[in-house]
Amino acid sequence: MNNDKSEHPFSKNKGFKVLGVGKQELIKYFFGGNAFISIVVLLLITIFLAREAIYFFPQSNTNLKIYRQAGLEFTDYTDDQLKYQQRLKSLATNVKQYELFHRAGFGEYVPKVFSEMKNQASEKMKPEILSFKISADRISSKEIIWSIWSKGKNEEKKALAAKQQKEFTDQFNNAKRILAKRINTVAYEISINKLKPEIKQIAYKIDNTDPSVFPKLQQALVEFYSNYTGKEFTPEFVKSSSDEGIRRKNEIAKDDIFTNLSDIEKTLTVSYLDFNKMVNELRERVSVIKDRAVSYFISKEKEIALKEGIPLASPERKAELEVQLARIISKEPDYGNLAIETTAYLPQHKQLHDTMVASTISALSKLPSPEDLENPEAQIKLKTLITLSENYPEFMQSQRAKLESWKYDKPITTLDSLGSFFFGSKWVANSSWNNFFGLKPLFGGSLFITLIAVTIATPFAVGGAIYVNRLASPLEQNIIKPIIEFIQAIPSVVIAFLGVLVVGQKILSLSYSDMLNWIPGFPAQGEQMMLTAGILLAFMAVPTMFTLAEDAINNVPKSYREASLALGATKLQTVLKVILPCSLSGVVAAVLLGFGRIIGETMVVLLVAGGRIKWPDTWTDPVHTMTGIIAQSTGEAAAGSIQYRALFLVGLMLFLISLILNSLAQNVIKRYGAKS
Amino acid sequence: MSANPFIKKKGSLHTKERIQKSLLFLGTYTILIFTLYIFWHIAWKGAPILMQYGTDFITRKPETLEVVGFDKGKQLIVDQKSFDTLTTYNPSKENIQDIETFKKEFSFTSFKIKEGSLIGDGYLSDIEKQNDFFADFTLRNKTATTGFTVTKNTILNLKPTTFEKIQQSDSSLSKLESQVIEFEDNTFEVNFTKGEFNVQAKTIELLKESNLIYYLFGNLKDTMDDTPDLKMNLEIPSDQTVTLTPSQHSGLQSDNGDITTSLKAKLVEKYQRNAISLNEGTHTIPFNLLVDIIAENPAAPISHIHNLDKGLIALDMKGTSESLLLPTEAFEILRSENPLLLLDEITPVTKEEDYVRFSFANACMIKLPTSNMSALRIANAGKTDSNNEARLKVLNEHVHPYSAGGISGPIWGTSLLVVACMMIGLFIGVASAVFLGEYSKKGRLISTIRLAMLNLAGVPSIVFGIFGLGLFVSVAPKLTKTPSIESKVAIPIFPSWSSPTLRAQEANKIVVINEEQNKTHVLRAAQQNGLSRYFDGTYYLSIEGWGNSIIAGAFTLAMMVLPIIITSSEESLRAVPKGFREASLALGASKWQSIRTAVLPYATPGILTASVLGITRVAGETAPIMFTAAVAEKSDLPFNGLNGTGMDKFFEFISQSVQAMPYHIYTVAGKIPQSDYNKPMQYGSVLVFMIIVMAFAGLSVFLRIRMRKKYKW
Repeated sequence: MNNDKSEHPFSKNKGFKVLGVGKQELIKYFFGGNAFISIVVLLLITIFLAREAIYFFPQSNTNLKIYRQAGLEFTDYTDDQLKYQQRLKSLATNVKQYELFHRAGFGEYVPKVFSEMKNQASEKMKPEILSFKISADRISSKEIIWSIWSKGKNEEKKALAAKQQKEFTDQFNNAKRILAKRINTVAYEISINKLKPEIKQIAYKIDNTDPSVFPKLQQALVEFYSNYTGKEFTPEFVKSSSDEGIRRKNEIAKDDIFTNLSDIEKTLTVSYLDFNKMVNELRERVSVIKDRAVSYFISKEKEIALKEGIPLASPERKAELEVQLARIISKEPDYGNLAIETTAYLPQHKQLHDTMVASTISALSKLPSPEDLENPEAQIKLKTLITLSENYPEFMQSQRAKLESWKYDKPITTLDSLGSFFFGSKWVANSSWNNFFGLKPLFGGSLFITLIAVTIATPFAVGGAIYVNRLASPLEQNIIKPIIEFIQAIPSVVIAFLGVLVVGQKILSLSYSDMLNWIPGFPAQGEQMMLTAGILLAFMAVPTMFTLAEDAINNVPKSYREASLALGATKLQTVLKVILPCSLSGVVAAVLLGFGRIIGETMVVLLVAGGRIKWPDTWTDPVHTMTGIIAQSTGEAAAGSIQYRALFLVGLMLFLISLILNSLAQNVIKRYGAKS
Repeated sequence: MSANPFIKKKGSLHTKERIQKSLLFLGTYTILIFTLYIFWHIAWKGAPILMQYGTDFITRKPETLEVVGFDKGKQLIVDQKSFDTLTTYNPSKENIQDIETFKKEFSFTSFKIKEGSLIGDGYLSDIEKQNDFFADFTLRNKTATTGFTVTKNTILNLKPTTFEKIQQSDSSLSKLESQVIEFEDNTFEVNFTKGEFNVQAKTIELLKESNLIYYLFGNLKDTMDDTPDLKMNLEIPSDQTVTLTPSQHSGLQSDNGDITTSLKAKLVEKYQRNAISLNEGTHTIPFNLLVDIIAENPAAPISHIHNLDKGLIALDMKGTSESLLLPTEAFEILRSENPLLLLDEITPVTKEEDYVRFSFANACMIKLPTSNMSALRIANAGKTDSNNEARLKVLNEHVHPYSAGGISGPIWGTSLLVVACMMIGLFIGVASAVFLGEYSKKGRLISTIRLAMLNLAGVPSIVFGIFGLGLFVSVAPKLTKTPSIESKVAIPIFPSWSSPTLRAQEANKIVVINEEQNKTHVLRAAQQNGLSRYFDGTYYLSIEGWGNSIIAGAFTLAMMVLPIIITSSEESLRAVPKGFREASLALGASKWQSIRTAVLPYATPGILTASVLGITRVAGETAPIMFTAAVAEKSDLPFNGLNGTGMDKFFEFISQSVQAMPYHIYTVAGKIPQSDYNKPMQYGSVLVFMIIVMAFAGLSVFLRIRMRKKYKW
């Protein structure tokens, strides 16, 4: 009976209760608890990132304090001056070299290309060259023995010597023949785009000026290996064109413009020699002070550990540990006195600095105008040089002012460490000089790559969505949609892999072509650059953006479409003038979410973006990104170190960016979407 | 004709529309062509590699590729299996000639070890390498008799005390006559003056061992590694007199810095040594005396594979005795150098193996994975060198890491990660979908949950990676009986009766705490001695994180895939018609009963589809597992090399790090130097990976289409 009652459909279950909560409620709470996990995870992410990240600032403060107190900051001010000076000099050299190359022709560079071709050929013919060398070695190692044997009286040995000599010579000739035969195929397999990147650039330039050179070089290669003796020699063509190039160069170098450029270059080089010496001296001095400061900071922790350890150690070990304890540095370096010695460099600096600036300004005033040059690349370099030289006096003056107003005991506030993170332009870890953790170049890399990718992806994704949803036949729809879904399933590391092996090279060789030379940033410096990463990321973002945009277009009420068609608009007019404006909010949300997806993508930028931590100048520069630096350095950063904390801080920034983008997208949909 | 109100001129509209349409068409098909190109490129480059390597590519571990040059006419022998590998890696036939198969005999000895045997560390690992054998230790013994081999007649100089001990001990050396020799030793008393000096790093390294008190600025270790000649800043705080050894003194003399010292006195100390002469062969001696002998004569030609720090191991055979096998030569060494090893049922065994003899028709470069190459080296080694390594004369050689073998480790690792992740993800995901779909009512709370889910879906995967590192790897609570010494919070849960074996204690650096001992004191001392875990008879919930492990990676991935699973599970729950629930409730079922019987079964196919979609996402992710689960190199498959039992074994299994496919691809594509030699491995791994992932993606698309057709209410 009891049993019946509990299974009665309308009876409430009274049998099982914990703290007044029934079984059904317990089940409900169990499910509810799970549902909260999304919120909990979000909170946990915030907490655990912030927990590590927040400690970055005090550590960074200490770091900055040492940087200032020890005088590293002081040294870096003069070091910046030196770097500016060096940049001017190298630009002047570049201008001269590029122009010379353009006017004097490529002759001088032919041997470089040839030796790279030779390396490749020898790499390809490794076995043949190996057997050639072995047979040559064999003969030379036996030659003395044969001569002894054949002069001796032993007839058997004489015969053996003659036999061996013949056999070995045959083998040698055979190996030589094979090599000569093989080079005829190998030489023509080597093409320009297979050469090393830096040589490739030269080779393309040569080929653009005179297409007959490269085939001649291939012939020279054949000639080289046909007469190969194991020793180096320069084939006639290479030698003559090189000689010709050098001759012409020397001739042209006597022109007014080049003598002028050489003078400038020379003045620029000489002007900073003494200054350089002084900066190096200062740098050495200051790094000793820094060592003292760091040793003092570390010794505090060591002291605690030793004091704890000594009572527990065995007698012999105890004596050893006590010596170690006595060696602990307990006294803070006297920064004030040390700083006086550092600032004592100021008069010397002023003198050297003034002479350097004066001679540099007078040299720079003689710069030719860009119109005088013939080579467009040299013109670009010259323009940069002119801009730099215009800013030169001002920059030097401001650095000098900074030096004079430098004080070792100027307090460092939290604001300073905030500023050094968010606006710092250097990210240097594990450096013997000083560690810098500045977000700016990384953020710049992330931002520009994402902008490139979004710019490329948006037209494709939105256009594709319009085409598939409105214009394509059902069959096309059934084919295209699954394929685009498949793109989403391609793992990012596979796309990164293809970027490294295929896409980068394709884009690089494309950037060398004459047709595309007008695009800024072309030709690119290497395979790994923002553009490559941007293209690959655009491809990865297409499915996300496509799906969302298609949904948005699909959600436009049917009546809008029908009304437009009824008014006599064509299909495409309806799409572009009615449907697209109505679904704009969805499309914008799609772009925003795509933006979020791209900025958080890791593997592609890690492998393809190039890993140079610097604010980019053009879209073909290599960069490093926020995601990339986390993936690259977290593994090697010790837990609790300042670098580890900085990486978590970068992670927190990424997290916040993704939250902002997401809520922005939600807002757009909420406010402007869902009109129907 | 002018009926169309939007047209001004017919012709222009036509062209414009055409251009617009073709642009849209072009855009769409560019995406498709790019996609197809990627698939085609991977298949085109990868398929020949899979054809060439066959199933080996899936079943072998990633290995280093050795490229070795052999001279023309060089004759070699190698076992059949390695020869097959050789022909796979070097498909050009014309280089290898005179191939001839024959049987080669190897003599082995089979034996059993009895309970209570004593053995040296190195000998045990030799046996374990050859056999599938694992023995625990009961204790370490430093005084029992052991053996060692003298490789050539030699003279040992012993301290008189050591010599006396040998004479009194039970040793084969106790009867030897000795000759007394006198030596002298110099020490120097040096005065140091107060001041700051620049001293070379290598001098400071020597002075470190003395009693000189100084302040050193800068990192000595780093400087020694890079530039030992560099001068460092050293401050001597007071005038001191310090005793230095001859090497320290001469180092100080030759220092080219500006340190000023003066020699106060040169002390000469005379001492005696007993010289004994040993013949070539095996001798026996108590273990602690062997340690002394070697310490006093570091250059003596004594070969042994004992671990001198730890002493002999008493083996715990647990009553069972397995039959073990060793090559006869190694067995003889084992028997003569371990006099206290109790052996049983010693029988010679002869084994025949298929071998191949071949020679090279040309001088050529041969590619082989390391394991096969070392088999080749051993089979053809003329003689072994001083390090017992086989030497084979070759022309030249270079190695390429991760360029040979296969991808079995990564495949297993990824499968385990995916399975564990989906178990966690489905459990949480489906439960929260049930709440959202069945129990919840509209309200602020629910919209917050939905907002959180949307945001979670947008969080970059690398952020999940460092989140996993911060939470699961380094702070998550771990149920363990051997918590880390550094763990700040450890809550005792329940007692454990099985203490870790001596072997486990040594391997995992565990200190065992008895009840009488003061725990904090023992722990502090243990920390000083470099131990890392402790055992005191209790299971703890220790806040120390799970380390780089499968479980940490799986949780990280599960958190990431949660939004996908919740969203699609909820969708498939919603697809079950309301009528089902109402009918069930009307029949008197409780809410949970109706969900269990009338809703979930019909939603299961949808949930499964969702999980397949999740698998595709999870399997391909690299960033979240980079710091939480994946390693580039691991010698064992996840199932091998586990020595615990029961629950401990399970914990050990899920707490190990694994190789994973995406991380492996990252390694071969981005972390090692690129050359033509690693192309096959790269394209092969990528193709296999793509096949697996695309199979799941295809399955999810197929399931979704089928479901839409099947379940239409």
